[in-house]
Amino acid sequence: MDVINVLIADDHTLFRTGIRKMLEEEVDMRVVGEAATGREALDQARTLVPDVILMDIKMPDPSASLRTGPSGTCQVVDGIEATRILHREMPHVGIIFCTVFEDDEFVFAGLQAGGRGYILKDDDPDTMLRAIRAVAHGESLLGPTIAERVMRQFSAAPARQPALMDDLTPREMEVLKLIAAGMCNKEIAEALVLSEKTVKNHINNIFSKLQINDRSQAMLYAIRQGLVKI
Amino acid sequence: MNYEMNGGKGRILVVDDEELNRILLSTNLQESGYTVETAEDGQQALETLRTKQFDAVMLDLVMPRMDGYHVLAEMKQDDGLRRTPVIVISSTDEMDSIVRCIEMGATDYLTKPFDPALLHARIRGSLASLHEERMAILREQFAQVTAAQEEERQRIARELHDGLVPVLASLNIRLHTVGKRLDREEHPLAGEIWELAEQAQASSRDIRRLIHDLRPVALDELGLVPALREHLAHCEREHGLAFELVVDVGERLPASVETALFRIVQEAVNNVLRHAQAQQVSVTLVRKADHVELRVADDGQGFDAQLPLSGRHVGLWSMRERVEQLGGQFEVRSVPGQGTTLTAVVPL
Repeated sequence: MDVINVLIADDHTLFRTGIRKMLEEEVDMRVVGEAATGREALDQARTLVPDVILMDIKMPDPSASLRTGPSGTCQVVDGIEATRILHREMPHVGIIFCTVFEDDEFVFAGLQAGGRGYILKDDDPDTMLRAIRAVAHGESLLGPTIAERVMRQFSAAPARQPALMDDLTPREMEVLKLIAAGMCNKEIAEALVLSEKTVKNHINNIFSKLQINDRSQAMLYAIRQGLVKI
Repeated sequence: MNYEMNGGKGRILVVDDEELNRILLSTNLQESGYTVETAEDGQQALETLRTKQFDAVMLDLVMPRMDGYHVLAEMKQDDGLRRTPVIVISSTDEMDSIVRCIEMGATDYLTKPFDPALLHARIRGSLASLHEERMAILREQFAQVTAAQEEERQRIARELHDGLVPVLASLNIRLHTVGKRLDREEHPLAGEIWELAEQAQASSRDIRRLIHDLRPVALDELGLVPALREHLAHCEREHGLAFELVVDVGERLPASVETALFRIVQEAVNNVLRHAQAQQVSVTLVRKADHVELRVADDGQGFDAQLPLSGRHVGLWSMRERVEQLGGQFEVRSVPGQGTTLTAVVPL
């Protein structure tokens, strides 16, 4: 049996230790590295090329204040950003979010960024092991709390939605796809060579035409309509 | 601190060395429903003022032992008495003294012989400004307390979320790991360990609920709209209250506005759950050019919005206060049997 190489990215030392000890007991898993920040996760993933990464969402970077970005602001790479980059560079690496955030926005943003699993830190530990095995085999797995939330989002959605999409202009459709890809307004503006204000206007039109309130619902809508794939 | 007037309509101290004046003033005021006490000179007046709370003082100027000026000066130097309105009693020929007293901080004056209508008008005026002053203090204290409370809640929620939940989670994971090994060895303590693991996991879930009650992390991390949706979905799951959320706000609002509006919806939904017997609550949040408008409407039994605010409506008072602190306007519409609609308009 192939051994699954796992990288643990989490800013809590205690939590990393717990995971490491648990995985060491499993014959088919091996912890190849640990990272405490998004940046470290990127570096480690590039050198170690693990099969699976357990990724926290929020990882404060204490050294980030020393490295200021071009605009003078701190450049902290969070788990979602690191996942987006890694998903592009090495799509075969399975990334599982392991976090305390259960809000829909984080779940959708995480899955859009390329995560193939989403579990809560206080889910049953066996769920974590199952997720690692599933993702290593190219499958996806959501923890029970998250799965229930996602299901509720789908089942609560009104059936009238498909027709609404026809009202969107081609430009609005493009913007919707980019929202669903997890881009922020600035990134969308750059991608489509528009001003941020124009992007904002498009987004407001999209929201009112689709009768939705925010980006996570837009993502959900786009996923459901098959505009983008998770 | 008591913000109501003392002894019903208000407690007044009448200070005059002439017995006839004292009787005249007290009877007049008592007949109008005020509680009245008297003092014969300045010394006695100060002693009485320092033992009981009064809403106004009628103060004669020329008295033995200690005169009115002295009393006034003492009162203005006393933190507990400084704000108590003082109406100076004087003769018509004492204009200079009246001017001096007003400069010293007296609220108003009354000339002898008293005109009852004028007496009551002066008292009412003084009590009204005292009431306003007390309300202003109360408002400021409310603002300070809510701000401090919010900051504290945010800090505790954050600590629990980022600190304790992961710790309990890793505790659970490690106990789980040990449990599995003990199971393999058929160790008698395995059951004990599994029990502990379960407790760690349950505690973590409890703390999540506590965090939600303190201050949802979504409010800071994601903003008002996701936090509202999470909260309403939570109330639907827990209490079966269906909700509708219609939002058009675009970018995030200033933090103080987001916090205030979130707390208003939370308070409003609490009221709906406690009193309204409603099936559905509908929350609308719309941003216009220079303001944001929040509306919370339910289809419950409503109440008579014309009736004076009673205990149950402390929530409404605090909602109004939050909105007014931000320079906004708050409105309650309710008719028995036809639900309740709260509207808050906050400038941006």
